Amino acid sequence: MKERTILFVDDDCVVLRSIARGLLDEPYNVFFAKSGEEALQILSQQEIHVLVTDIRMPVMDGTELLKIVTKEYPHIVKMVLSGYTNTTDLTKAIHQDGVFKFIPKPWNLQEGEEFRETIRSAIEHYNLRNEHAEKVLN
Amino acid sequence: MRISQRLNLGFLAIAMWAAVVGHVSLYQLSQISAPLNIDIPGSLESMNETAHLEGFAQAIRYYDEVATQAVRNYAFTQDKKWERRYRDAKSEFDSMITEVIDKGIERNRGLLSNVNDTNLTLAEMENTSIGFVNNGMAEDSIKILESNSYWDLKKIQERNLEDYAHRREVERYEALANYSRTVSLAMERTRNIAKYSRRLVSIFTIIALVLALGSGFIIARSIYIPLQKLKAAAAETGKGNLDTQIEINSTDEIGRVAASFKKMTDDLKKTTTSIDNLTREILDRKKAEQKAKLACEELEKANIELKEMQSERVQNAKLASIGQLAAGIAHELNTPIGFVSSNFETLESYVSKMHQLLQLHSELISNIEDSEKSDLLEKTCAIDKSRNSMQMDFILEDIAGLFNDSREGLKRITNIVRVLRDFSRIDQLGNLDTYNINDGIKATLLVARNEVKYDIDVKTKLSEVPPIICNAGQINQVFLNLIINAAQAIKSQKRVQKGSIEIRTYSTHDDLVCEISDNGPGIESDDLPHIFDPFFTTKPAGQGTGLGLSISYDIIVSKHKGVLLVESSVGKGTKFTMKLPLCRKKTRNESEESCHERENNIVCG
Repeated sequence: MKERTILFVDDDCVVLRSIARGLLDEPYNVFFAKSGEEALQILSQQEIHVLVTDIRMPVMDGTELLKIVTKEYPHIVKMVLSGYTNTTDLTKAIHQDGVFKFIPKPWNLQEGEEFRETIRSAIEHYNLRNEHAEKVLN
Repeated sequence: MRISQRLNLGFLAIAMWAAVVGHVSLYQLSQISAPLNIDIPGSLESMNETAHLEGFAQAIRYYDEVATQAVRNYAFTQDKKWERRYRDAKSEFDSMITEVIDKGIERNRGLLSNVNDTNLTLAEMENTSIGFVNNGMAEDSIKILESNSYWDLKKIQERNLEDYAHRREVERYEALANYSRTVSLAMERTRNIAKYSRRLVSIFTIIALVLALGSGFIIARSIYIPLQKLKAAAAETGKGNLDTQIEINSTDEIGRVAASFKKMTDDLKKTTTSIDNLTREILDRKKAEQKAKLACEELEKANIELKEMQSERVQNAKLASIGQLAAGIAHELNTPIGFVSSNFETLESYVSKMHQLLQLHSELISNIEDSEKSDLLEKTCAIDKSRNSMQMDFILEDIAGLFNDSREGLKRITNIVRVLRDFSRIDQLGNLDTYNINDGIKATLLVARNEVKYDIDVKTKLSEVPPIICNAGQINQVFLNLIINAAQAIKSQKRVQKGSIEIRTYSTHDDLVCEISDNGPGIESDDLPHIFDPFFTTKPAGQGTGLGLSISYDIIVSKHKGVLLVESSVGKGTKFTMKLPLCRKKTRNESEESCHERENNIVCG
């Protein structure tokens, strides 16, 4: 199977670096963006299969980015990684923006490997959803 | 028909009857006056005339005799007076004859013309005789007078005059008889008319009486009976029987009075009904009043409960604020904890990889003496391979970054905790302490960072201010309230551009002043007087407790004897100014009061 690519968006570089470290041994490509704008730039250049974004960011926040992605790249599986676990935002993200999963901060790498598990399941979800379409395309 | 009309009609009937009676009476009177006017005067006149004529006849005979005697006397005496007497008598005689002939009745004229003829002859003879006397021939004169022819003529004359007089007399009697007959006839007739009239008048009087009585009775009846009914109805109504029916259907005054009366009773009935209703209503109201009293008591009870609840609510609001703050702080903490723990786990895997590699190296080193060179080379290659697969180069390079990042995360966490501690001053046992409010503002901004981070530029113009004695925790709570309110107001506008909050501190001679202004939506002028009221909020239900500003006001004004002012214009923004007195003495009372408030000093929001 073709390698999948994941894009992480967070305004905090430290967060992005820790994610990069954590996913060192994972079998997929990773991209990182420090803002919504940067994320859109990467999206226009690379083929991305899974998007993981923070919600509260300056200028363009996660909700807005998710909206654009839903419209422009409907095949991408979207996920949220946020410490701001406001129920309203959470429900809104899942229902309106078609978010696959919500990963709360602080995320856990070791215990049951939750974080990586979640990302893997997102890739699987993507594969299942796009298998048929890709077959047709190929 | 109206009573006045009825009365008029009655009077008209009587008047008409009177007119008829009058006319009949007049006719009767004219009947009576007819003989008086025509018959009696006529017969009276003819009687007078005949009497007159008879007088004439007598006078003619007299004057004839006087003339005859005078002429004889003259002839015998020759006294001139007799001639004069003769002339007078003769002229009277002649004039009377003429008058009689003129006035006399036709059949007498012939008689009198005979008289006149004889008279002329006699007069001639007598004149001749007188002439003889005058000429002194008295004897001749006497001869003439004594002559037969004279006497014959005289006799004829006398007889004629006698006849005439007789006839006159007869006529006079006839006229008298006629007159008396006429009079008696008229009397008879008058008597008859009078009799008839008397009867007529009595009949008329009776009829008039009957008519007057009848119409009077009818009219009176038509007035009296309904009046009687009305009276009875009024009496009934007076007794309170309002259902009394009056059967008067006439359209006259009484009918109208009856209608008015009926209307009155109806109105009265309505009024009575409404009075009944009123009485009922009064009863209802009394009941309601009692209920209201009960309700009032309940309300008072509820009020007491509410007051209890209010303090509970204030406490809850404080807890809610703590919750809100805690959520913000949690988020602030979540991120560094997230990546620090992530790094920690990564480090574990790094260490385990290194451990493996070290193990491989140790094995290599321990076998280095016994092994072949080629063997060693092979093992070294294997180690290199696993080292590569472990991405050990990256790990070694990254490990410094990992530590740096983790240190950064721990620093952030430490900072947050410190700020929180600074903010709440939870470690300070004394409630009143010397505090620089600039530090308080900085701490509060850090706490509020999560609220303002992405939407608002916060500018601070903090001048050097002297420290003041205050309850720092409470003052910070006020700062946080004002800053978060401003931030939420700005965010409620959902604007594209960032909002701004400006915080300024400075000191005047007496006060330490802090101004917190925003360029948010402002406060409606209707709401402005209420913003410090407890439970007043313009936020959607469930999102605001309505206690933040009231607590702030309490802290600044009641607890610190300061001033909290607000200026706002819709669309431009809001500015809160708080002034704290610089020379505040720590009195015993306040200290106690503050001790009492100690449990609140962590509160904000």
